[in-house]
Amino acid sequence: MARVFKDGAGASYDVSTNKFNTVPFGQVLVNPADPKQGTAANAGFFEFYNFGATAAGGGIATSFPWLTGVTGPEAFKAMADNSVAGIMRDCAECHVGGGMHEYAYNNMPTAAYDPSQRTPLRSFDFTGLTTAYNYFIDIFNPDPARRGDAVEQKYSETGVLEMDCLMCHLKDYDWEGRKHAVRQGEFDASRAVGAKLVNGVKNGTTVFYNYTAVKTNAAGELVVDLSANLNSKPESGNCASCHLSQYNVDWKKRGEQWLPGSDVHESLGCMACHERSDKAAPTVGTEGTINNKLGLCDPAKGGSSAFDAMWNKLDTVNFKQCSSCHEPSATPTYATYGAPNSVLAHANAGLTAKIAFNKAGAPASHMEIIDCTACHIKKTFDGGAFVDGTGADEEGRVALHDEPQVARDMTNGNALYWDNGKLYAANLLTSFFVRDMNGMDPANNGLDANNDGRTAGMDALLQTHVNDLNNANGRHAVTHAQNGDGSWVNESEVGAMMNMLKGDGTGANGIKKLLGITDPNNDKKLLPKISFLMVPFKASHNIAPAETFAWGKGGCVDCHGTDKGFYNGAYPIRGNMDGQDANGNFLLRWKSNQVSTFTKVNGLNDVTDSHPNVVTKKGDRTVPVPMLTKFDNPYTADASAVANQTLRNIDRSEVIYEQTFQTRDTTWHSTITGAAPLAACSSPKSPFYCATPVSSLNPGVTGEDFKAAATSTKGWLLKIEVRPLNDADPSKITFRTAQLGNDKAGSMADVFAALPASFKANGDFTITQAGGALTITADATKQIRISPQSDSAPYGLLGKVYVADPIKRAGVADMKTRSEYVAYLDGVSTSMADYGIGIDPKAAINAIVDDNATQLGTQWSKGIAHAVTAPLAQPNAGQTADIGSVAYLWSTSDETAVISDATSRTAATVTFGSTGSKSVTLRVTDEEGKVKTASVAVTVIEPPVAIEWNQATDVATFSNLPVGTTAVRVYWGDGQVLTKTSGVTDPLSLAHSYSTATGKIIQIYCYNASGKQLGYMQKTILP
Amino acid sequence: MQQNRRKLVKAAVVSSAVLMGLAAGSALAAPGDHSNIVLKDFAGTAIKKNTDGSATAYSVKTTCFGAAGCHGGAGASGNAVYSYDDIERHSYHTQLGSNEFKGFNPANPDAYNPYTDTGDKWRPGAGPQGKNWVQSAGHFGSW
Repeated sequence: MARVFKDGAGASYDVSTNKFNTVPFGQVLVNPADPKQGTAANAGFFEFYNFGATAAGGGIATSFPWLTGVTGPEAFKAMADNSVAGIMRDCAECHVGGGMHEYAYNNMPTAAYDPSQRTPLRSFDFTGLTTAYNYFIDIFNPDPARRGDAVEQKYSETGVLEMDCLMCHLKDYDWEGRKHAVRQGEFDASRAVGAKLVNGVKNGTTVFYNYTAVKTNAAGELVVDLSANLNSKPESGNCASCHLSQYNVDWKKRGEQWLPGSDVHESLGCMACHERSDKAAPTVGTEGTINNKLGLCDPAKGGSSAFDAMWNKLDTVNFKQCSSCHEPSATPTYATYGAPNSVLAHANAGLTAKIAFNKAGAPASHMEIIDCTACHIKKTFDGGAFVDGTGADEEGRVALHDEPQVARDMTNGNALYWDNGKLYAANLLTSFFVRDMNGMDPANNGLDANNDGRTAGMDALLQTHVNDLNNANGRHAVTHAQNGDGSWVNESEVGAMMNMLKGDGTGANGIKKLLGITDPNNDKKLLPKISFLMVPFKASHNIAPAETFAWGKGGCVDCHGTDKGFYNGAYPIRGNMDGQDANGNFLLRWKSNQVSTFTKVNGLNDVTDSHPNVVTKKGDRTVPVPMLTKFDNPYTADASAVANQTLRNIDRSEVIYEQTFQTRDTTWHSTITGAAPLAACSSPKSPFYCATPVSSLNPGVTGEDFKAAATSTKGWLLKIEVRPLNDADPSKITFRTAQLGNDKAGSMADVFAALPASFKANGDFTITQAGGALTITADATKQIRISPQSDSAPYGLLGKVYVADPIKRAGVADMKTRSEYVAYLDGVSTSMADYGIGIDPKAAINAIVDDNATQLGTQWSKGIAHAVTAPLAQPNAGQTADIGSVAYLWSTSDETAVISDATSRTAATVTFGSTGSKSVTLRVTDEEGKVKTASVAVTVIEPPVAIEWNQATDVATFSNLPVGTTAVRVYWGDGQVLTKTSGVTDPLSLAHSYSTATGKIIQIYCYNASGKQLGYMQKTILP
Repeated sequence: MQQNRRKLVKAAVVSSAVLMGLAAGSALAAPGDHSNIVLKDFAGTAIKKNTDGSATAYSVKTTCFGAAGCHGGAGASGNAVYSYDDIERHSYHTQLGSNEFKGFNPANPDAYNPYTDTGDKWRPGAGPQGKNWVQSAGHFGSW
């Protein structure tokens, strides 16, 4: 959107702390091109950005000198795409009004947002100002030639879009009529139009009421009777107008539509699920600031996805999840509409047994790692496949999304993605747009291709600019129509578009003219490429009746197997533009030098054409999904460009598993030494700036080294985490950050030189460079590691951030790659019995040792560790392992007992510290949660008298004599007896010679001073 | 050449009758008396017909709210106690990012500490990175 405010922009850089600080409202960067210069106070808080400040020395002219002296509207046209005013005419066809549709927020008393300080747009004085609030690009002008005009929106003429309650609360509200009024800028009138109270509109603030529906009272005042049609709870038809129908909100945003007959819950209405669950005693937010309280008229908002950021604190607040009605954990206090309980059905399908694994690698059920929608959505109609940003739709909106060719049949259109370790259903919607690959600084002929103040970062062209050029040249979005050769998009079509955008490069035409740039020698090269961004938008509706469809309804075989289409199988990325002609040419195609990958992720290393928030199961890495069959890099000569390139119909597994499994290495170091990246110009894999990329690798090819602008090194981020030596408290972790400001770093020496001195030597670490590699050495009292936020690859530090993370499963070799793991999932047994499902575990305790066989029962000596083991609870055929998964847990009746390896079936020990009757219990829990227990009773005694016989010395040693023993009598088993009434020690060693070598029973009786027997033991020995 | 005209499926609205079926509470009349609502303009003045038959388009804010016995007015009860401001300020359907505006070029790699869960998690994220024009987490400011 066009810039709204002058202040509160960007982040400053504190050289002393090596930290970026957000510039708050009320402050501005001293020099936006150099964050190190810090901030200065702005004249006020939330000051409108005035596109009219083009006088020399003015705001626009300082940052965009090529716009010096142009009018405000001209500057707006050169810099802005959509705006607040534009949103009101475009997107607000579905917005209920209020917010920025009604109020201006300008020159506030503090930096803190305060809704009470807003000014109504109607009365705001925009005199002399050209702002995002009062100007828009007139993309819907009936005259296509005028669709690039910057037009003023005067709220005294148009009125404003108040929050229109009737849009939700009036039965049969006329959404179409309101849309038409909004499109014309008839904002005040739109309310009366939508309420069907008018016969016509005179202007934005005046209407011709239908005087049958609108009466006149005795005082001449106009009155209406809405009693028959008002609903305190919105009907589904009101929600449907914006959310449900083809090409509307959910189609635009997620490629989704829901049609009558497609959702089993349809008859219950939208509010069955979206009515807040605390309705009986609601907590209503009215503050207007971001908190977790639903407003009075907020439907409860469904679960957050990684691609949605608006008011996330309200996600799932008082929202009914599927389980809220179908598997409530407590008696619901809200309506559940007779929802059948699904617990048994899921259990019977094996989905509640812990035979899968969660993101931590612990056993989990399918229900715990897969969302309901992933299995229960079924569509038999179309949905959005593409949003084509290379031109407008029929109506004038600057992206084409509402034609069949950019749609797909959604029968096979569900995919999956991970969010916090759980799989969700998704529509894969791909947007594409044109970007400029010239990332050089202005001083090095960089081009700010969208006048956003930044030359680097692959600027996306303003779609209003692309649209303007299309209209002037009789062109359309590339997918607008089929070409003569039957293709929807082909190489020559894309090439013609690129030539149109580039013009002659001097600014007389093309994009540069619209940007206001004059470049007589075409020094600032526009390097346009089409990029594709696939986003897996969460699918939540179109729930099929369980009796007709559900993944897993037919058993494990529904999903587990080659190309079943749940976690695997080809996904129709190309949608309705799929296919090839008789010559093998794709119907959706281009040359390899006309497109470029969207970005690189995981340390600026892995190419991807999907959103960086598509993450792994663990969530610590992005899953890169490259979709382009081929794209050229700056080192490729145009003559080597390959035609007939397209997007792959990827496999579904590519969205949820990366090619080679890795995870973040969280090891702390005292020293980190990176690797030396490839030298500049040596290879496309070198990250460094190369002045002659094409000719370096293509001797003889001249005239294409302007592509060097795409090898800019500007902006590489390096963030280092620091902690006190061996301190595991995460709150003690601090950070130091630096961002490379050099766009022409041709070597690591250049990179090193460009890093701030304070970043290279400070109290936390020092950095040195040698042989092209960086070495970071922590202070003696600290430890360091590289933050995953870093662009670690170009710094040669990638190997210090990520490590291999193969998936380990019992009975199979570690799986390092997606193909290995998918093959494993495809090949797992589909018999539930093989997982122990339906089998009841058995708890038993193997025989335990008896420390005193002379006594009835089992005695254990106090203070001695005793082993306890159990047989397999669910043994397989070979008795080698449990079927399924079984958890073993040992416990005792004595809380003070010490149990080691309490969860081990074979290695646990129990030590009692006191005497008396005790029990030892084994609890086994299988994958289905079935529990069995077994117990044994023991009597814990003082350790009994022990008898050891040394054959070599003919000495018997008696130990553990009962306390108080003063006399003993020993029967040697050969008829001889020894009585000792003094000098009795513990241990007590007594010699005795046997005349024969046959086994003898030695018996010892222990007495106290009174002659009372205290103890007895016997043992059979061999003399 | 255009092969297929875009058609807006109005069926969803027309056939919303199908959806209304058991849509809970739908057919019940609103609890207050809405049979004689005086239309008012944005200034709160009752609207009268002009000589040419036109009249000022009505304002929801003043027509539905503020007067005694009406929404947010004296004597209101239940949910009707809430004023226009109460509702408009605190609704994600109205605000759409207006009340969480960040400013131009909002990306900041140091704005959030994942180990203490403090700061602004959005600013270092993929949304604002490299996109100066993304000025909020909601619709206003993103497009």
